[in-house]
Amino acid sequence: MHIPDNYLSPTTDAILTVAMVPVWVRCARRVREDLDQRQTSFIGMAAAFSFLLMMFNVPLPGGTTGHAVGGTLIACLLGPHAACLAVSVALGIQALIFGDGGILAFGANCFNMAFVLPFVGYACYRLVAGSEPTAARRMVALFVGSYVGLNVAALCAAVEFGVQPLLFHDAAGQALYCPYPLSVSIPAMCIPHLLVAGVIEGVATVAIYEFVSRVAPDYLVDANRETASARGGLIPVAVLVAALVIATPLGLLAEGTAWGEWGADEIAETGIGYTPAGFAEGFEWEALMPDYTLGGLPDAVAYVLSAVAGVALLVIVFKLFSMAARPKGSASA
Amino acid sequence: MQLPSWLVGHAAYEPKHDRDSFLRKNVLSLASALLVLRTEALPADELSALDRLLSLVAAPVRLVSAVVLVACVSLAKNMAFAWIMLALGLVVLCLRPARMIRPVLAAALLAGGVAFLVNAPALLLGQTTAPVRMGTKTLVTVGMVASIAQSLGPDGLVAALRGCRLPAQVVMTVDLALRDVVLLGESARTLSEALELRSVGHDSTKTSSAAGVMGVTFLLAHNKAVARAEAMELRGYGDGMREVQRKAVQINAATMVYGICVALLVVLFAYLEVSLA
Amino acid sequence: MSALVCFRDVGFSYQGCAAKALEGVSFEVERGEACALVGPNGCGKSTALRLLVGLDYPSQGTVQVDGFVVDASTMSNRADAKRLRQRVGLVFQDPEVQLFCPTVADEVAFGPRQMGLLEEEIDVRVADCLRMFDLEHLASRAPWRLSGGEKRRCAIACVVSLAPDILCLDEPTNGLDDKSYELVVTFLRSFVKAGKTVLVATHDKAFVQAISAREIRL
Repeated sequence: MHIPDNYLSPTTDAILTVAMVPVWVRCARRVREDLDQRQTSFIGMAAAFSFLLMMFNVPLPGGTTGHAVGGTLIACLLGPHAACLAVSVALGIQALIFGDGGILAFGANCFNMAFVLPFVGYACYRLVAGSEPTAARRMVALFVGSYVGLNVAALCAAVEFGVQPLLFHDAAGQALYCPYPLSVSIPAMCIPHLLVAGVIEGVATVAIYEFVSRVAPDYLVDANRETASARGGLIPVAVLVAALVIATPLGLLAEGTAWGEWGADEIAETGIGYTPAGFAEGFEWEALMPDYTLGGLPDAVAYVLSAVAGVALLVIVFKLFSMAARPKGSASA
Repeated sequence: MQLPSWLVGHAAYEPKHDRDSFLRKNVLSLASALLVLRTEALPADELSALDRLLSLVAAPVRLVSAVVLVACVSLAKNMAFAWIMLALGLVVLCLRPARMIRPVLAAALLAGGVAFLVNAPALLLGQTTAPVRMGTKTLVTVGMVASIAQSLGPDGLVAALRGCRLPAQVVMTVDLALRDVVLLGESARTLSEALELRSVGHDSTKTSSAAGVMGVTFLLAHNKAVARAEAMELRGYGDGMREVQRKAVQINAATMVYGICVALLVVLFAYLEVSLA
Repeated sequence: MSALVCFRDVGFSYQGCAAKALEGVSFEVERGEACALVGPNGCGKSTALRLLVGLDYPSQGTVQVDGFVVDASTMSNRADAKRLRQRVGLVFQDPEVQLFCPTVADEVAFGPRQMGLLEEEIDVRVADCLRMFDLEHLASRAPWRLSGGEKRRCAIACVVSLAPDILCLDEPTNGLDDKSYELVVTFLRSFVKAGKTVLVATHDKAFVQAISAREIRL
């Protein structure tokens, strides 16, 4: 679901980026008010799950690939505002360092995956879970929330893609940016997410949430009453993160490019017969480790290295962010 | 004693607005940066598990390893080794508490940024990768050095130098220099606090106040250094430090494992240089 | 009437220190009172004074000055912080690290100048402070060239020129000769008699008695 550069017009990019600014500001304020230092630091670990889930590409119907995001997972662990920040930072690292997702399209990607996904997912989770859910009901709520969240985000991305040929085309009618109209982009994006990616998102969310709530319940913001007083540690969580890092090369097994992530050299071969002008003359960012590869190293090694670096960076960013948070145990403002 | 009327009154004071936070924060930040070398070690429960393990490794071995790895990163023609060291460095850093991460990251990013800027003109000559390579290598090497300096602390650094069989005079000079930096930092910090306490309104002479703080800091440090030199002379120091009998470096299990890991990294460096040439 | 200064169950540790500098400290100081924080070395006397002026903030408990809670969030309001530091003056233990202006007169004038007083008012305050602390003949001298006792008197003068309601002094009698000692004692007695408040951290029992201070043991 990472929208690369040149798929959306600069106008679309700008509008969505500007729309995200007050969201980020509000989320940063709410995180400062609601979470203490320890929980704010924990956002880094939670963001690591999202980062790693996004590296596990899975084959989707149609020969493309997709991935889970984990935004609803973080929202259920630490609140939707924390989830927005976590996924935004993860997307930023992916765009800048690994070339996964565009730089100009950063606002759009954050809108879909850092704003729509966790907020919609969390709202659905709360709706289904109710006030004091049983364990089974909570698991169902987690699955439904994350499934709906991911699919709504995919729909948003599909709409952003699909309106481009309508709004931005040359005199000859050729699209300047994404060439696929809504009638193509919506089914192309939504069907695979409804059938496969959404299910993976749901399963991953349930599994990781249940694990974290068992081993580190006091880090959760919306903990169940019966586990809220139990103390936990982060070592099992760190072990899980490490295990996922080592397992990331599995994401290389899925071949094919995700829908809507073709490069300028690939787009003409997808059936449209031409390369939109926006691709040929558009913005190009040279990432340090493009597509998680490193010149000369085997792909699997580079993938693990990328995962290690990405996870470590996320933990560092949120540890630094937590320095501004209130101490553990003190009352929120 | 008859006190003046302005002193015995209880007039309510409304402070004037002043945009002093930038200068104030930067003077205090500079002072605090020098205090990174404060000699007090962190309590054990504040160290990460990795740092606790690393503290078991002999300090001279850690110092020599750092020099070797810095040399490898600097000499690497292929960036793969630098990226691997960057990833390792980030892992070591992310396990530390936030207030230990900040100074190391700040030093590394600043140095890397300066290196990038200095090499930026190469972009005009079509060398698009040169600034990034230099910036990254500088970031990695400075980060490594800052990280190990923080981890060892000034006492550990001096012990490491002793263990490396450097002349006692050199070790003492480094030791005193490190302590002088801490002294500078403490003086600067306290002077900055005094300035802050008396900055109760609008300071129209901000620059000279900050300059006064810096000037007095150096004067104080100079005076203290002179006093220390006199004290050393009174205690018999005059013709240089006498060499003392030194114990051999203790090679324990942690040191051996650490040494093996560093050796493997060096082998990896050599392999990457040869195979990717 | 509630106390002017109130420490309630205050705890504090310096970063990097396992031991607590202060733990469960509670005391009150009334308006117009002289109090002395006493106790062995390292019991937290200087730390308590630092918490009072907001140079550090307690990790537990509260510090209040005339109802104003001194913590990170209240002190982030610059106007409130400045108001507090005009009302509560702190003289450090080491006067050398308190003086940063080119001359003694400039040091004493610094605070009033900050307050935006007219030049005539500043001149009056400077003249009064130099007179009270026997520094008139040193007005144009550089502070770092003063003797230890002169520096200490200068440090007190440059805080007094702010006209604080509460004067905090950390070991004010260290390095003072008899004449300076008498001068400081006389000043503090007059200061308290005028309805102001004094809080000293000290080991000097004779000084505590001389200024008729109530002992607060930490």
